Amino acid sequence: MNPFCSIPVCDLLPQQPPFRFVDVLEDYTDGAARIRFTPDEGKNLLMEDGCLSAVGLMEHMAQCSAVRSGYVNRFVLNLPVKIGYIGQFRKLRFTRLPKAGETLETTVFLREQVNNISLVDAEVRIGGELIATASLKSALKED
Amino acid sequence: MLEGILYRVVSRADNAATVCLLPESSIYKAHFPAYPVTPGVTLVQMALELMGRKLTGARDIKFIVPVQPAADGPELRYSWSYKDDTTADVMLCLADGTLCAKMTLSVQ
Amino acid sequence: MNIDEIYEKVNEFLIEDLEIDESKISGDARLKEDLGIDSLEVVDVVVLVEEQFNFKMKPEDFKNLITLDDFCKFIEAQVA
Repeated sequence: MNPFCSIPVCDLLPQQPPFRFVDVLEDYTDGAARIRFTPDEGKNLLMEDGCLSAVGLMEHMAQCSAVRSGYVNRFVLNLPVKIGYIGQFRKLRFTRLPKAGETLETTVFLREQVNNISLVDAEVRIGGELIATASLKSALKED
Repeated sequence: MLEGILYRVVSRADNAATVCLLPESSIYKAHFPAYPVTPGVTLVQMALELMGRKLTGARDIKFIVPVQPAADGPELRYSWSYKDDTTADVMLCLADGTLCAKMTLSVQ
Repeated sequence: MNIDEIYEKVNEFLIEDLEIDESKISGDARLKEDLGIDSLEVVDVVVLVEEQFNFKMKPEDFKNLITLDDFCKFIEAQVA
């Protein structure tokens, strides 16, 4: 089994259901993480008309960024997982919204990090089709 | 819809509204346990619900200060203007005028 | 690259990427107080400098850069 998939996602970010919008880290290579998520009307808020809402899609992307930095902190730097805040979203574009039960595969690439702020580019795919992109900055809460 | 779950409307005008956060919301228990913070995207969702619009994209959304729930809500003040039919500029402040978020949204 | 070219690239970034009002931009404009470059925009500045001027800024570099003139002269010194 893929070693990343066996990491419980709650070890990678502090968000809990019904406000958790990621299921599994599938891969981490060279600063880029790939995350899988299937929206479920019984488990997730921010669903509308049988689909993940646009705002839910934003939160999914932000949480993918959190999973990436959570993995790096926990498994590369051996630090605890920290609470993070979204700092900024830019150029959010999507061609359609994911339906409940569809599986999202989202890649987040680290473009730059300055102190506790990371800038990532996110690409969301369903069945290989690119459906959404955005550039986002997250800040980790300083202790 | 987050109205009634995360916030209630205190007052409305044409291009502005005041809401009060609901600190007992289940969202705060999930985000985060022991450290409640209003998720940034819910600040966007509230704006959309108050404007009665759906999001189709976003040029720039900046979250400037975290908004934590408190005994008095707190109250948040939204104001917005439309650049054109499908572009809305939104500002979100606390009652004391502190700017919490600034958004340029594509809406329908 | 001469200082005029540096100003040109930086101004383009401020206007196009950060969408700063052109009327606010002058050599003595303070990066933080006048141009609104706070901790979030600093990340974009680091990306700009790497992509346009081919060197990596460190957070400490910003400590002594108060105005736009300071910033452009700093770049000039690095690319010389």
